[in-house]
Amino acid sequence: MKYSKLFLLAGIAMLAFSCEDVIEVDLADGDRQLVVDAWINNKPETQTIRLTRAGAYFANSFSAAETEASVTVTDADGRVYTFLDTDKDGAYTWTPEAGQVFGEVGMAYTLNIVTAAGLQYTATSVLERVMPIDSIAYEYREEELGQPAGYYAELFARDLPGFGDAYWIKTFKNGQFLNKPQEMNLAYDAGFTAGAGLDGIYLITPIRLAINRIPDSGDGAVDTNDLPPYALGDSIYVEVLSLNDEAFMFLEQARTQMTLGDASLFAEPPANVPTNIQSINAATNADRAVGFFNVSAASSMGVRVQ
Amino acid sequence: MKTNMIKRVLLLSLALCLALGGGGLWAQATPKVTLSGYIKDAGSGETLIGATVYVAELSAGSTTNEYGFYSLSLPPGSYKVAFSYLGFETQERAIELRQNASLTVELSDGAQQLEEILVTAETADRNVTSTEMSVNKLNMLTIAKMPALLGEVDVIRSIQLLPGVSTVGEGATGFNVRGGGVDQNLVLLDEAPVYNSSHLFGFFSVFNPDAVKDVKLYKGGIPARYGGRLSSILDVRMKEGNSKKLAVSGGVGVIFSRLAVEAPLFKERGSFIVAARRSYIDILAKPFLSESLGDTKLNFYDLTLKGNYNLSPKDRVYVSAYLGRDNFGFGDAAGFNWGNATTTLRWNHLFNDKLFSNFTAYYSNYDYQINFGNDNQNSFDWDASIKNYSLKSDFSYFLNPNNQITFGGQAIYYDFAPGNAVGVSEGETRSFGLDNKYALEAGVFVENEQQIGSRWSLHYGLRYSYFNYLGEGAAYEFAETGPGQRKQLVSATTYKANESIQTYGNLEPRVSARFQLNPVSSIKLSYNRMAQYIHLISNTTAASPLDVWTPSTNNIKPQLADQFALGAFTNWKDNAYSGSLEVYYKDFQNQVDYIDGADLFVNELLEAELLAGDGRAYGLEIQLEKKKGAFTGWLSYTLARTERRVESINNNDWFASRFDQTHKVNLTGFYELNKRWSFSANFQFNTGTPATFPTGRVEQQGYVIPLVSGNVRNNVRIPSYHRLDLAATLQGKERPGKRWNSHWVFSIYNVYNRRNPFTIFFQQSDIRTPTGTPVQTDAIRFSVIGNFVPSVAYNFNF
Repeated sequence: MKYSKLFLLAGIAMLAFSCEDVIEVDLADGDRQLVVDAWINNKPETQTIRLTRAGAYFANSFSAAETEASVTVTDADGRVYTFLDTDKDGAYTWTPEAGQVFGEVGMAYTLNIVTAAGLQYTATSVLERVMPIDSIAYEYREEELGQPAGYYAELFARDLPGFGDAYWIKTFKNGQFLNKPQEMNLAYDAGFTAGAGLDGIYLITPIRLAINRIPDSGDGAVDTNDLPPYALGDSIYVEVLSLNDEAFMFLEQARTQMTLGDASLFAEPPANVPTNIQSINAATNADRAVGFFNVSAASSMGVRVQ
Repeated sequence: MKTNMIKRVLLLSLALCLALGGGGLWAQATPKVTLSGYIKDAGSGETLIGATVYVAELSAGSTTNEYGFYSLSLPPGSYKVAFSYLGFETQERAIELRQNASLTVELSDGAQQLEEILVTAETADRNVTSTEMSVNKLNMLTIAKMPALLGEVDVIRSIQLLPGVSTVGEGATGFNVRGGGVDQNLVLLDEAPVYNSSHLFGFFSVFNPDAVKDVKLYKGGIPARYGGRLSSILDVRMKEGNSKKLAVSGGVGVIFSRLAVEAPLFKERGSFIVAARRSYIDILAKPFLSESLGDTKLNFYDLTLKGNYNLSPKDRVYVSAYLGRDNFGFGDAAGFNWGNATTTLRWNHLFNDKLFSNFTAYYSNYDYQINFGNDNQNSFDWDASIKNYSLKSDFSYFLNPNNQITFGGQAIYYDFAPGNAVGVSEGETRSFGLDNKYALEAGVFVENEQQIGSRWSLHYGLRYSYFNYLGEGAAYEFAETGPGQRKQLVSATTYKANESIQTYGNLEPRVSARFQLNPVSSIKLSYNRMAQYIHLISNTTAASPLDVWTPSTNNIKPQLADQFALGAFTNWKDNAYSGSLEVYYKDFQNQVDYIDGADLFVNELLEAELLAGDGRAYGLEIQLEKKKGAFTGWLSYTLARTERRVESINNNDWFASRFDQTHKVNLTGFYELNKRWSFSANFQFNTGTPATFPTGRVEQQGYVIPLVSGNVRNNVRIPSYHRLDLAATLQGKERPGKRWNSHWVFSIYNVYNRRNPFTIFFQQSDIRTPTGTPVQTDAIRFSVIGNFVPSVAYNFNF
């Protein structure tokens, strides 16, 4: 899928008659639904679940925090992990005690939320295995295909044998998460989709190379926050999070919905990204929640360009 | 079930024959004799489609078929017979008809007479007197004079201007007819279907204007001889080639260079045409690209050829072929190409003066390839195709001037290759091919065009279509998991080669009737049912060249559509003006839709991603046309609604389809200033197409995902689309004895520089969000053509 978009885009861009303008649009106001942002993992560090209320699309401010909720995660063996929001900012946290291990491959975890208004929500996620990272390579390249000269990195990791593994590959440049939607790097086995059947081999080249920042497109305002390619002395840190099928689909669709503009003529229909948060006692749409609960295993590696 | 169907077909056929009886089939007392033959262009020897033969003494007449053949049965006697074709000089012949006679007539074009500039190729009042409705005929001369994007004369872009035809937006592949999807148009090039009619996505169509003779679009009242798609038939007929002399034509434009050669063969017993086009955007762009982009490849070409040969006065054979390809590449790092290939063999045989037959065999293929990677250690290759082979026969029986019966049958064998992928990563290879799918589609039909008295004319017919989804392959059974959810695989059954997996059959009645109010006005009525057994799998705004076709299976039911249309037609001032008004209602069943986030590429379990829905479309189309004089042109207006209803989408409610345009106005004018200068203008206005705008934002892991309250679809409309185009044509100086003719075409597309939106999309600002700051969001208006586009083209012929 992502292959095709790349090509179609290129073709359209070459036509050079097309243009994009930022415009003012009045949008209808929607329900302020509860947003559950619950992506936790087995790293021995503080885990955070954020609860907010959906804001206006153009709000351009952080969404309002949902405080005073009760948030717990329970595993299939009955262990309960309580997440607390002590500073009332909507970020509910749980920190493992020394030596405590959270997250077991194959284990099902259940999130339970009760808001101050008494609305109850639940979601379940199974923690899947993750592939280890072999190495991160980098090389200096001269200016090529419109990319400036600099160091370009490549991730070597081999998909675990057996169909059905999925990964979210998060890259940090000098500690800064590459957070553009276009930079979201997902793999199903070693390829882009389940159907491609690329099992048990090294990640295919486009995924290996997607740990490099995507530059400012050059459209519109100059991006003063634009990141250059890697340079001598930079750190490259890559974290791979395991995803179950549902979580992969959530991220894949979220990326699609966040980058419809890049697909221009070939955009899929705008639609809400399906949530796995079930409401137990919602009476109206406004009472239902959106967002996602996922538990991942993590592997990581960091290098410094030298 | 199957035998039942066949019984019904037989019964209906019988009923049809009985109906014929009423029209005088068996009521002929006096013996009749037949006058038959061909009507041709005296200049090039091309047969003329839809030319008229008229016997004034009897007020009887006929028109030539797609091969230029006519046949007329009359009582013996002396007649004055007029042969005419709009834009050509009418010939009147005094004929002493005692026995069956064959007469081929060549008409001279009236190019010298300014007042006879063509707008349509139809005989002056055929729009009123024939049973045809919801049909648009476009003459290549007209298409050639319309202002065109980058000066490239284009069949499909011209069709998009017609009432009842819409698109999701500029540059989108294909066209939508009366609420139908782009895959619901049967696009025929000399009878072979073309699966992707576009070059460069949707900017240019694959038809080389130098090789096209006649274009006819059926939006409704579709005759029984056509089947296989729900919404329209675009019948493109290629030129046969000049059978009198060598002729060369060509042109140089901004996008393409074209060259066509046509000439007689074997002492004028045959002729051929070869026409080629190639784009050279990449060559033109090269000096402007940086060195690193110098290897960029972007071109498209097509080659069209056709030959014909008269084996005997009763037998003529034709061979036509088309080959086209679009190529994109970035050095040797990546490449992408797609194209169609078709071949048609035809044999016209005249059994006798009354029975004309045509036998066709064709092959059509559409395929694409993608490849990444410039070394054999790391690469990815992927291809897909649809191939089909068909045999077809049509018989036209010119029973008498009041009845013309056409019958025949067709069988198509499909071979779908939905995707083969080979990935190599660090030297390790994984190949993953989806099984090919096979199917047989067959149809038999009979139809009759019947004149009842001077006021009524009927065209009725019946088609029985049959589809067999064949092995070898696996048939899957799925369980529902909830509305809009991916279905769960329950079991797979393996079938042997040519074993039947699932069959479908449909009776498709087709009826059109005309009631003549007075010599210049008529009312027409039509109903048709259509069935479609193959489906284009595409969930993007515009169909892309990577979309694959899939057959109806045990899980995908054939699509069905019923259409009713009613129209009033009138001409005035000696056919100088014509007007029409039509209303239609169309009902669709089993429309293919997709779950949210459907995985449609290289997916063995594709059927689990599909939904089935209903559709409805209704509207009003008005067209006013001025056909004679120095100033000609037309004004058309469409008021329409097209909607879908699919379980789980838009809360199970009806929603406007992506190509719904409430109002559509088109004004096209041509003005002949003098023998050298002519001008044309085109203005278009459409209501904006529907779109889905978000109502909120969902913060998730630092990203902002749009949220639509209640998950409604197509809840708003983008701004209206309007555009003015102008063109001027300068003919070269005419000198006696000079064979070289040339003309320049200057055109401006989008004269007032409007940025018509293709869509408005919502996304995070292009600016990178620094850690700890909220994500900025923007609304972006995307215009495919954001500027005015001037162009110049030079055309010649000798």
